[in-house]
Amino acid sequence: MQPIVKYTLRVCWQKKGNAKYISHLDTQRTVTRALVRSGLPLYYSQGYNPHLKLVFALPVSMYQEALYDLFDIDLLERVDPAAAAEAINSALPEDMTVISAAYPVKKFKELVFASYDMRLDTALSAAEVTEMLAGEVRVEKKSKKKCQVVDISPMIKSLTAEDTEGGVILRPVLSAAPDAYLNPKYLVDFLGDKVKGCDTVRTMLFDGDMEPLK
Amino acid sequence: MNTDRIKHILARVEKPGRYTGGEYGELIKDKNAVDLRVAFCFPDTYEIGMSNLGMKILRDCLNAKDWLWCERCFAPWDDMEREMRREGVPLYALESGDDIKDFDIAAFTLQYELCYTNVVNMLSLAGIPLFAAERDESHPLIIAGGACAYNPEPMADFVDVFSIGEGEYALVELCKLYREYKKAGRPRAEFLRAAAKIKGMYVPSLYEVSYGEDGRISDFRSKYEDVPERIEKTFLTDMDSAPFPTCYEIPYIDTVHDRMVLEVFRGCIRGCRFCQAGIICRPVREKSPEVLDRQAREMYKRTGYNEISMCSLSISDYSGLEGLLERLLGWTEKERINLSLPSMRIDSFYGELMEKAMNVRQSGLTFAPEAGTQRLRDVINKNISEDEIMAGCAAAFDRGRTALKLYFMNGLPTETDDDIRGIATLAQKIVDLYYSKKRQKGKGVTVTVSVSCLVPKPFTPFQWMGQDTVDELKRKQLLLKECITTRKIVYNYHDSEVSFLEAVFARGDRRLSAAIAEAVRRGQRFDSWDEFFSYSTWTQVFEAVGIDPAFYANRSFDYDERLPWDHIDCGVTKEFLRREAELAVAETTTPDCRSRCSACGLQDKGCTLWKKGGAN
Ligand code: SF4
Ligand code: SF4
Repeated sequence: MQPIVKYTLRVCWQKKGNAKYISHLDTQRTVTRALVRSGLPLYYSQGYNPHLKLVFALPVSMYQEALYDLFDIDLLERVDPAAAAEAINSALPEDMTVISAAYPVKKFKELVFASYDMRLDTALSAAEVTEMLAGEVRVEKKSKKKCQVVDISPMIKSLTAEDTEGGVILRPVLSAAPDAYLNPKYLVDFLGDKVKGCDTVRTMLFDGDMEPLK
Repeated sequence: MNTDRIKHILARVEKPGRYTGGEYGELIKDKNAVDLRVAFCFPDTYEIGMSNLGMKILRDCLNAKDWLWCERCFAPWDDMEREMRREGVPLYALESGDDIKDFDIAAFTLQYELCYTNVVNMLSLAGIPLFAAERDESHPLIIAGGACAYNPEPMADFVDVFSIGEGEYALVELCKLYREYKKAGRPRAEFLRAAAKIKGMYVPSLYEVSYGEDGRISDFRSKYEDVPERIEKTFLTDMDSAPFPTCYEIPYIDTVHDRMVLEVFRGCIRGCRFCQAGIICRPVREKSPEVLDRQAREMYKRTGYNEISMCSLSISDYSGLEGLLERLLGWTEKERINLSLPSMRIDSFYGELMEKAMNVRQSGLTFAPEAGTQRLRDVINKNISEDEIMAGCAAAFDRGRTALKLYFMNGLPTETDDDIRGIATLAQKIVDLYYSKKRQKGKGVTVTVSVSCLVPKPFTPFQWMGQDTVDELKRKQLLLKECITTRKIVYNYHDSEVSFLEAVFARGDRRLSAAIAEAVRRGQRFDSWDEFFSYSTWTQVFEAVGIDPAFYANRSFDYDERLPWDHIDCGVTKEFLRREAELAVAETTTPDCRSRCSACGLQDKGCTLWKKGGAN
């Protein structure tokens, strides 16, 4: 039997609005069905329980939006990326939008940083927020096994803050490498009670040279 | 919908995706361009409601009209309800996010009795006066339908109009009339009077009930001459041309039935004497395999689901089953779509095709013998013999199945302790059968015995019969437990207190509205959920409103007593039901409608089987 030739298509998409209330598992299922509806020549793994080869670069957490997110999908034919982008987009719910599709330039494991826009609902000023986040940033980090207090400041590459009506916009660039991902919610945790709410939007994914991951 | 006003709430509740809408396939209309806005309200969670085929069909029928926009609304889980009440956010519809209280019509579907508190609680959460008598044209019209509407009485005080039967066309009629009256600015009372003349529509406030000293209904009549004494159910006659939605919202979050649902036919040829669906859904009306195949293909293209579930009362009785499976398997295998069939009759053809059609991943099978002895199976008219049961199980084992689930019922009329022991004996025989066969090494068998309690339902031959008391049901459940001696048999049974409450409302009259209102006032809702059901609260509620629940659940009604639902005409006659009740006691079975017509009352009312059957 000849081996099946696969073409990996990289889809750049956004998850906005009410889609932020959808968990990653549910997002995966939604995207899977959209791909089926799109009519693209999808590759399925062989075997007892065939499934698509669908990989997300860095899923955003629930309650966060993404203006820049990537997923790879394996196809059986080399299709026109623009047409594929259009087909997938029309099969997605309104709050999930495909911006473009292309054949991958880099591997997902070359992902190193991610940038965010965080609208803080707070009485603090931008200067105060920057000041607080300048030194050690010790937060309680929960993983499946344990809960420990760690200093996350090495994982904050840079940040700026700006005063706006009703609060502060914080724009951090955080570590997003596969083995060193920092969820932006820890910054909010650290700022504590003084922040009443926060809308987080991921704006970009970068490689180690701060080039957008494509 | 715009979720800004509930943003902070959504951050605090479980599964916020239940409350935001915006799924793929959601239908948005311009609210300023329609004359009528309807909220289709499902009185249970999003996950359950979104799995309901009836709701999809009816919404589709309504939305086919360009002058009407029908949106969705579900019962919020208690964490969400708490937040909504605290923040003063009234119940809203998922598409527009607009408050239900500003809609023209709120339509509730009543699928099971234990959702009644949810209906009333949703009215309360919407800020709509609970009782019909307190509402006027400034409030939404509250309508209700579904299987439980066949005995609408317990909900009579809350609902303006009940739709009896299949609502595909009747509901549109009702909306048309409402639109007319709304345009003309005519009062609610006038509208109700006119609505009562539409076939299938029941307006409870237009009827008067009196009770005798013994508490039984002494008189029930319409208050006006132009309001019919009996309300005839509406139903479709041709299923091939029946409206069927092939496009609908694909939920983001996991729901109970997250797959394509193909309705194969309505009605059932069998007349199991405990079964309400088997009576109220008569006559049998089938769709043709060609139409089903076309609908399935279209659904697949539009939904992207990888499973088709065929839905009907007794799927193996579908006359075109083989042809349908052949057609479907012709393309679904290639597209990696699984077919799934609901609980099968144990004697049904269990061939190659069927095996292929069954979900390959599902290693279990379910069968419903319902009673443990032949005598009792004859009483309930479950026309199946022990040999057939064993043959069905043998076929399943031969094909490598190692898990079987059997459904039974306790509290059936004439049931003795021997019948209960018979359940254990039958299950043991099935276990023994497995071990008497050559089998894969090391693989054991599991026979699950699931026992519910009979709830005597209106429009069944058992409608007159009092339910076993809770204590008696518990005794029977324990007796069966003692009879099961092997771990190969897994035994589970329903909460008899829940079944008791179901029986109260199934056989109740409109005096029960007071109990429902009081229960809601005390915070009772989601009664069908273990975590919310509270027998002690309900006992207190009945005490507080001065109602003896046993009067409804445990009392045997006289044959000549005026039953609370006697003004509803389900097509099947009371004489037929009584004849069946008497045959039950005589342990005599009645053949299915394909073998012979038993003249249930539908002979000249749309049944196509009776002529064929009668010829035999
Ligand atoms: S087979 Fe019996 S239990 Fe099943 S739907 Fe028909 S009448 Fe009801
Ligand atoms: S009329 Fe006869 S064949 Fe038709 S549903 Fe009734 S009993 Fe069955």
